[in-house]
Amino acid sequence: MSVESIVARCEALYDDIELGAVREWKHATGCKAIGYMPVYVPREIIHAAGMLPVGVMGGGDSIEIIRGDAYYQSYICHIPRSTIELGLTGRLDALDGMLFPAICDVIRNLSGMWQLMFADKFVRYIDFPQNFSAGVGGEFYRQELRRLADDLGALAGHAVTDDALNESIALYNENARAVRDLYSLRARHPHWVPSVELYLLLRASNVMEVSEHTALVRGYLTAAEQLDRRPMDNIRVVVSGVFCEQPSLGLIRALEQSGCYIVDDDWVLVTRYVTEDVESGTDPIGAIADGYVKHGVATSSRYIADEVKGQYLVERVRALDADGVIFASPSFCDPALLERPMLQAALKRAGIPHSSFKYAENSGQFHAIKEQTGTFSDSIKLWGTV
Amino acid sequence: MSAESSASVKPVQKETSMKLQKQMIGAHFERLGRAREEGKKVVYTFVPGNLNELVWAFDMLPVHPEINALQSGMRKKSGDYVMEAEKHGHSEDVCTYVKCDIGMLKRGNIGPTGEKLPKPDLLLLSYTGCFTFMKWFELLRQEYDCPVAMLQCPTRAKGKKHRRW
Repeated sequence: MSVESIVARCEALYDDIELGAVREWKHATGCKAIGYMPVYVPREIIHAAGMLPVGVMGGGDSIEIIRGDAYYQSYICHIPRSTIELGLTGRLDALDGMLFPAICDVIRNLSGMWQLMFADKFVRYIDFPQNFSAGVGGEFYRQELRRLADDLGALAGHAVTDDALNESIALYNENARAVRDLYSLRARHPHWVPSVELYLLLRASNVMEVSEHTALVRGYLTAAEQLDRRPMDNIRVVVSGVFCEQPSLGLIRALEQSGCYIVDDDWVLVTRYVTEDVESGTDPIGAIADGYVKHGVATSSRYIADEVKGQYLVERVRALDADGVIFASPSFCDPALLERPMLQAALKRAGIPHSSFKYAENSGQFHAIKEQTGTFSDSIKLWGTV
Repeated sequence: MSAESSASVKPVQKETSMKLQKQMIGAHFERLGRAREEGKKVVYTFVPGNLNELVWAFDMLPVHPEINALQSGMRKKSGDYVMEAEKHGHSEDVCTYVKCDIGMLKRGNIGPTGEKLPKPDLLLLSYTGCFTFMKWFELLRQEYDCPVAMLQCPTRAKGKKHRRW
């Protein structure tokens, strides 16, 4: 497969907000599909129940919000509005259930609204432990996962077995390794892997069976290394804050066009939330819980008790030899925007340049952002700082 | 306003409980103002989670950041505090409870009734579901050299064990 054909396929999936691929998968397999919102859910358990995990990451810039706005005050972010719009217009009808992970108060409350609006669907709010010791938060989370597995098994009509869980864990480990390789290639040769292509590949995982997605990423890696793409005179940046409401393709393109190679980011974080392989074995549910508490990625939705706040970002910048950080945060996003001053302070202490802007998933004008990030890039190129 | 219309304004009728509440809150801020000279330890915590009895049982005094914000708002002090927090990098579109409290802290931590609030000896984060609380205490932790303890109350839909679908 060529890079062009892979990217074209991913873009078609991205554009299909009617979830046509999910409908086709259900028709072909006779199985159910379960939606989930950012930033993380244990997809292995859905998969082990014989269901398709489907990432629901808002409506982007593709739909007009009419009904969604009626449910929210003006000072609430955009992703719950577009998610409601998608639901009420029937675009999510292919889903037999929805999982709402604990990311913020808005998404938590959306889970309650979903139960009222779609009373015939399976709806679950997943609260994550903020205590990361195995015997406390890990044990709580293990019980939650067991309950989730039992309920998904009841919905599927068969129990979720340890064998099925181990198989699913192995497939998702393979997928995570492929995604990590994709990120590694982009960090080493950002001109080989334009970020909009990487992003589309990640978004494809939302609606695709995991092993098929792994093959797609591996195919892209092989094809991308064979292209003779020329490097640009861009700086290297880490983008932070885009873990829930997603940026549009236009925004990602604008960042790179303005002179910034993105060498790390936190979008579609579910694909690499657990940073090491989950161990399969005699206690697969426990292994998934362990993976979460021991190897979860540092992000705003995880409480940091003793570590220095923002140190993970400083270390990431240094490990990737990045020139600076761009904070891109959705408007009204408490998790991203309350985190930001702490991260900025850590960067300041470390002497790392940064710049910040806000966006909404349906932002359509990028001129001001390009000017800002372009100036950021030029300043670093000229003076090594801002 | 004319004398006639001024005369027609009825005096505010306050219930006994409202007056009592005001006295209690005022007395609490006065106790906080004397905490250091009286050798009392101070614990910052949130109202939800209701850990007051625990704090009182150890003969310590609680400070509730969201009460600070509310009381500052009632006294029309919160606008300046919010702007102060925004000067320190906080976004204009996030929780103003947090920004009011952070702004008050940056302006010298003078409480809403005029007493300087003591620094915490412990940050006791009762994380009862409001995600912002977690960020709030991460922010406070940047400002104070004291231990932090978190009590997480997991959220259960409808307040009970999940229904089997």
